[in-house]
Amino acid sequence: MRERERAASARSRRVDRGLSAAAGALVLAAIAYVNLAVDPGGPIGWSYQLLPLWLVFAAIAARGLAGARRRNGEGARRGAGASAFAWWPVVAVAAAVPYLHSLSIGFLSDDFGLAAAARQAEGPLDVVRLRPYCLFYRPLSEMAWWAGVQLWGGVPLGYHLLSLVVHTGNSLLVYLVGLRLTGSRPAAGLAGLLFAVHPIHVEPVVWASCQPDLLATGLCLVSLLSLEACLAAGSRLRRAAALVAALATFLLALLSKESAAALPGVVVLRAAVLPVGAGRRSAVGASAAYLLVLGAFGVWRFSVLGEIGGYELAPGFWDRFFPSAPLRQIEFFLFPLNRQLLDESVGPAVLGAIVLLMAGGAAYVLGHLGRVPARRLWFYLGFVVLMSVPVWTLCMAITGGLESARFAYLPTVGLMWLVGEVLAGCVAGSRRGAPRAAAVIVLVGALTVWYVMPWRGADRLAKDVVAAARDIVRELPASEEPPVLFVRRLPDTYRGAQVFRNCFHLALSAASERPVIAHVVASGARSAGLPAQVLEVSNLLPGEYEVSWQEETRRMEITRAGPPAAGHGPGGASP
Amino acid sequence: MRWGLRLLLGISMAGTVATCAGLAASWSRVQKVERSNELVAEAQGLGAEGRWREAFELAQTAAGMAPENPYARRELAMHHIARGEAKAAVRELRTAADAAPDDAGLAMELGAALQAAGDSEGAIEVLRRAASMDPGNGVILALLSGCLLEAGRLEAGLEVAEKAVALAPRIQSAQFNLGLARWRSGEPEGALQAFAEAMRLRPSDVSAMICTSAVMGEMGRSEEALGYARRAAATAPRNANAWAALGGALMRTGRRAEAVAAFARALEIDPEHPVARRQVGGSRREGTR
Repeated sequence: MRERERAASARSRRVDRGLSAAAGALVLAAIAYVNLAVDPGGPIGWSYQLLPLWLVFAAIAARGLAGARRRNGEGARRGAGASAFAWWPVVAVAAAVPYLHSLSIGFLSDDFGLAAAARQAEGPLDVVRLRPYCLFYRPLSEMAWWAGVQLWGGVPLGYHLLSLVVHTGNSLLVYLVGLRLTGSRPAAGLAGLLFAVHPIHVEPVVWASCQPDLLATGLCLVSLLSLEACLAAGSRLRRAAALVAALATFLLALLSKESAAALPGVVVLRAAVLPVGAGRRSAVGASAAYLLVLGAFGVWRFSVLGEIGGYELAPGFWDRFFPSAPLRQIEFFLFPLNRQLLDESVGPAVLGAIVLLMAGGAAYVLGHLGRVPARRLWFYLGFVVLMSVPVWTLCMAITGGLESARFAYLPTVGLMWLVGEVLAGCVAGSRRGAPRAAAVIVLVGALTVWYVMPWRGADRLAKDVVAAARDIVRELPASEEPPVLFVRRLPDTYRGAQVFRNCFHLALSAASERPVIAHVVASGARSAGLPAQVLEVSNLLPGEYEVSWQEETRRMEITRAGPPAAGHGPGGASP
Repeated sequence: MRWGLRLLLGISMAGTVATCAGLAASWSRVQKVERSNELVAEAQGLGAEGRWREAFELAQTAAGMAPENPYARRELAMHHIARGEAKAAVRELRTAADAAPDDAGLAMELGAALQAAGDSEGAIEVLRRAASMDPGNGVILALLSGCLLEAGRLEAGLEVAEKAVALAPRIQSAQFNLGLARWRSGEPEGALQAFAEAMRLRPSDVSAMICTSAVMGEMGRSEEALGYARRAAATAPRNANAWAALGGALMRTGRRAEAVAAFARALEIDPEHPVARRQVGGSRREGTR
């Protein structure tokens, strides 16, 4: 009788394993095929967003059916004792090395606006008054730009070094918080390593304008670390000191970028899901304190801006309620494809191999989710979902060129911990685990090194465009009023890297020897630049020129010019 | 619990299959629209070379290939407008605007086509919708002010024209409509200012010259009015309104014989021109008395 039950149970387990493998393979194959054949960043409608949802469903169900593996706990304990391997320097070096060839890149797009405001400001508080981010309130990030002018003369290299230092610090913080959460050095170390080298982080690390994302992430992680210290502290005094530190760093994170506003949600989740050494009451008290700080910041921000601020969005029903942002981030985390770069650089065979490799990696993670305890799994997934709330609708904008991937910098930390724990479990569980984990890190890092190349290309392109426009301005006849340029076909991005989506006029003003006014002509009436329609229905006035960037010759040409100034004074033409 | 999790796996598999099916359908639509957009670009290229017939046929093919592509419909509508088929253009643009209800540019073009087809009220309704979609677009407001003035809604026309000029001061039609609205509202000085700005933006703007001449004539500045009327007739010698304006200005300065000659020239160009017919008839009657 017992044997029959055992046989039935074994059969049932086999069925479950087969079903889980089939579901995981089906969803991953679908995502991989879409990544190969279609371009998920392209105009294929909303239905594609459902695939990551089915992936999460399949992962949760497979994890539930497989149950937690005991080996994981053993591995974690073994890892906790194994302090021989020095994770700190490895994580720090891994964070810096893939980005070393990005240090020579100059300013791009919004960088010119931030640099101009920092130069114009008379003091650290003055730069806050000038508010280069007119839609937002990010005083700490703006002060960092001002400090750059004071400390290293505002040269781009200084800002890139700062970004790299903050990214390295953030990778170490991912390691430290991970260590607190899992108690396992390998799990935390692998999470820190993955965070350090993941290609989804190229945009925030290489583009200086993304420093608010780097600072906010670092400060959120310091806040979480202090919170963990608070919840584990034995004495009341230590608890209070750690809580004050946690709240202060949370406030600083909010002053760096408003995306930190989701942190109280993570704190509540942490208190509800994970064990608390100091008791549930302390955890509830800490959560309430975070919400109070958030409320105070909201009042402060409103009093400064006169509104809540942020991008003007009119999300539809789908964008408002469907969790597109976290699902897209999970998908881009597993399949970090820069389609614009890959399509132009490699053939379909290499692209196919890369996608298959990514699908294999994703399948490996899904197949070993049983190594992550259920509570922590829920916490990691909850971290991604909650931290995506401030960019719920914006994350739809992550394109096939990984543009706007900066919005994933903070939320994907949860996925780094998750995968770190899976890899650590595999390292502890099998002999081949360590080489596999090392191979994953090396391959992912190599992709990052490659993805920095478009940014170097964007830098060359931006310099060429500015030089060509400066040459045009130099040749224009002298006049009392500054000449006005209407610039057509200005490159906004290069293979997903920013060139001049914004602030071209500031770049040109800084490069020209004489004052000049530049308007970028946009193709649609709703675009950020001057609508082309306006230019088409009105004549150019004296001193106005329409110029066009010629991609083929890398030159700028005057395509239309206003009439000569004589006889067309401001009083109107006389009969 | 176990059966629930198996159900979740089943849902994820069925969902994947259904999503892929939906994706295949939408991808096929996207490809058709992309091909249709390529044809639109080709049609535009042919139009730029002056090969209108071929361009029209290509635009028809593009619209037939992807009937839901609003930009193919718009291209076809532009050809209808060029061929003087305003009603067909309105039909195409209406379909395009229905396919892309958030596109303020399409709504604006539909408004302009309705105005060209003589449906001012329809144009006002569509342009108001376009303005609510893109409130910062001065081109839409300039068109709307023209329609309102044409429909005789002077107060609303003046208000919208002022908004259009505030948003987009370099749009000549906005300045002209503002001048027209101010003139009809009894503000001749303000009207002259707006007409002057319209002429500064487009020195060949005959309508602004004619209106300036008329306003100045009403203000008793007959010699200046004559200057603007002469300039209008010289700029557009095939424009009956310009000759009629010159006739009126000459009449005000007492040069009756020259005025009759100018009115006669206007009638040569447009035998049904009402002002010229009245004036020439009046002069003849005075002469026979």
